[in-house]
Amino acid sequence: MEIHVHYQRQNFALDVEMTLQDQGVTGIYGPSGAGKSTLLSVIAGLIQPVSGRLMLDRQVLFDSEKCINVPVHKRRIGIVFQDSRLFPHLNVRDNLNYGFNCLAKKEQRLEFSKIVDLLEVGHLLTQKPHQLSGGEKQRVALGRALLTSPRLLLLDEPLASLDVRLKHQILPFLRRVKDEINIPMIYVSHAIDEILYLTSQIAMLDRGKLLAVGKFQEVIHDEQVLALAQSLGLENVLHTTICEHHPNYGYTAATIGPQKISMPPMNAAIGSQLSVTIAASNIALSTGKIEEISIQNQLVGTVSAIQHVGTRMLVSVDIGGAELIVEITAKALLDMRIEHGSTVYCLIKTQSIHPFPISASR
Amino acid sequence: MHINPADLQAIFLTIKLASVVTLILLLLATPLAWWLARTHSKSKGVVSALVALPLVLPPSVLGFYFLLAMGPQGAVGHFLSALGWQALPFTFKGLVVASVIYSLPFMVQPLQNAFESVGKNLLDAAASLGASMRRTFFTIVVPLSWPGILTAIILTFVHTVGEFGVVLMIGGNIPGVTRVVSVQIYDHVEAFEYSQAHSLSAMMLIFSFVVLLLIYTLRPNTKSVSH
Repeated sequence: MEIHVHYQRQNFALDVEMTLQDQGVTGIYGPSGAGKSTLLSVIAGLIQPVSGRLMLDRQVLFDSEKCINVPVHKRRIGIVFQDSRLFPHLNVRDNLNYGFNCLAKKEQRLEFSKIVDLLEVGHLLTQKPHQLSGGEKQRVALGRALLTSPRLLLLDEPLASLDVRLKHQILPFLRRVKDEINIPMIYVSHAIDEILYLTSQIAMLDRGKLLAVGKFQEVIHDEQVLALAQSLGLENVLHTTICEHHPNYGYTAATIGPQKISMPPMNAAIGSQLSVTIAASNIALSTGKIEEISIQNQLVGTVSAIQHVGTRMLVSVDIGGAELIVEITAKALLDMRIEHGSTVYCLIKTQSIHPFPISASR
Repeated sequence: MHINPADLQAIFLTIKLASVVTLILLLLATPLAWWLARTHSKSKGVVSALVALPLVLPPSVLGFYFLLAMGPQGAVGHFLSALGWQALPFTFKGLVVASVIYSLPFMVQPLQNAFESVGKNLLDAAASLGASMRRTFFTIVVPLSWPGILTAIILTFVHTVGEFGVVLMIGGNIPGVTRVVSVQIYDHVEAFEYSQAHSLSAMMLIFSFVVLLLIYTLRPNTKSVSH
C-alpha cells in the first residue's frame, strides 16, 4: 500500500509518506497525539486529507490532484476500533453478519463458522453487546471486520480500553488471525510489547511525522526512534522455545537461538514457542562471566550499538538470533570501557522475565 | 356527553387532517432532519431557524402570510391557478399545506435529536463494513431512533389536532371541509352552548394528556436504547 498524505487540523499537521508491505502486520507505534489514529482514519476514508494520494492493490483510493475519493464503504478496508462499536440493537450473530451480508457471495472469502471458531465466540451468538465483557466485544468486533474479507485490516489500539489481564487474553487471538488468515493488517498502538508480539515490521510516528519505517531491530538504532521508544518504556520482546520444566527448582528453561535462558515456571508445553518481555532497565551488563552470583541468566553477546538518550545509555547487544537493548548509566559505560564490538554478558534475573501474553504464567 | 353529528364530523375531520399532515411530514421531515443531524454546512443555522419559526410566531401571522401567498393574488396562488388548480384558502388542501408548515418543527426537532444521538461512531463502523448510507440509515439509524421517531409522530399529530389560529385564518369555518374540533369548540362557546363545548374540550384535554403521558413514559427508554 502506498500512502502519501497531508492532513491539517487547527494546530496539528500529519505528513506521512510511506509504502507498506502487502502482507503480514505493520505496527504503527508512537505516543498519544502522534497522529496514529488520524492516519488510520485517513486510510479508511473516514477523514479526508488536504492533499495526497492513497493506493491499495493498484487501486487509487484517494488522489487530491485527480479528485478521486473512494467512499468508505467501497474501500474494502476493515477497522477494529478501540471502542468496539458493536451495534447495540443487534445480537452477536447479526453484528458478525452485518458486513458479511453486504458482500456478494463470491467475495465472501472467509466462512462464518471458521471465524466464529477462530475467535471462540460461538457461545455468544445470541447475546446482545451490552451483555458482553470488554474482551468479548473486541473479539466480536474483530470477527465482524474479518468477515467482510477486507483487503486491509486496520486495528486502532484495539486493546487500549481493556485491562492488562484482558489485553493478554486477546493478544493470542490477534496472533492467530495473523497466522491463519492472509489479510494484511496495520496495528496501531503506543505499547511496543503488543506490536513486537505481533510483528517486527514497524512504522514510528511522532507529532504527525514519520520517524522511521522498517524492521524494529533496524529502526531502533535511529536516535529519535530510540529516544521515543525509551520514553514510552522500552521492553525487549524475545521469542523463545520452551525446552525444560524444573518445577522443583522453580524455573522453566527455554532457548533463544543458541543460548539457554531460565525463567519463572511457565504454563507451556515443551517445544512450544513463547514470547517473553524483559524491560531494558532490568538487564545488567558485565564484561566477564560472573561465577558466584544468584542471577541465573548470563547471555553472552556482542555490542552492536551504543546510544545516548538523555543521561541514560542504551546498549544494543546481539546475543545471536536476537537483540537485547540494555539501559545503563553513562558512568557504568565509562567505567566498564564498553564499546562497539565488545563482548559482554547480559545479566537477567529470572523473575524479571515475563511471558507475553501473561496468560502463560503459572 | 353532548356530541351532535356536527361535532362528530369535526372530530373525523380533525383526525383526517392530523393523519394526512403527520404522514406528509414524516416523508418530508425525515430527510431534512437527517441532513440537519449530519451537516457541517454554514446554512444549517439558517435552515434550523426557519424550521423553528412556527414555534415562536403567532399563528395569526403565519395564517396571514399563507392567505396572502396562497390566495388568487399571491405567488403560490398564481402558480396553482396556472396549473388549473383552485385557490387553496378555505379548502381542506389549503389546511393541509398550512398545517404541514405549522407543525414542521414538531416533526423535525425530535427526529434530528434522535438521529444525532445515534452518533457518528456507529455510522463510521457501518461504512467500514461496506454498508451504503441508505443501508446504514434503515438498518442502524432507524432501529436506534425509533423512540424519537415515535415521539415526533405523536407530537406532530397532537399539535395538528390542537391548532386553531392558522385554521381559522386559512381554512375559515366550513363544516366538513375546514371545521375541525378546535373551531367547533369556538363556535359552541360563541353560541353559549357551554355543555357541548365542555364535552369536546374535555375530550381534547384527556386525549392530549394521555398522549403526553405516553411520550414521557417512553422517554427513559430512549436513553437506554441509545447506549
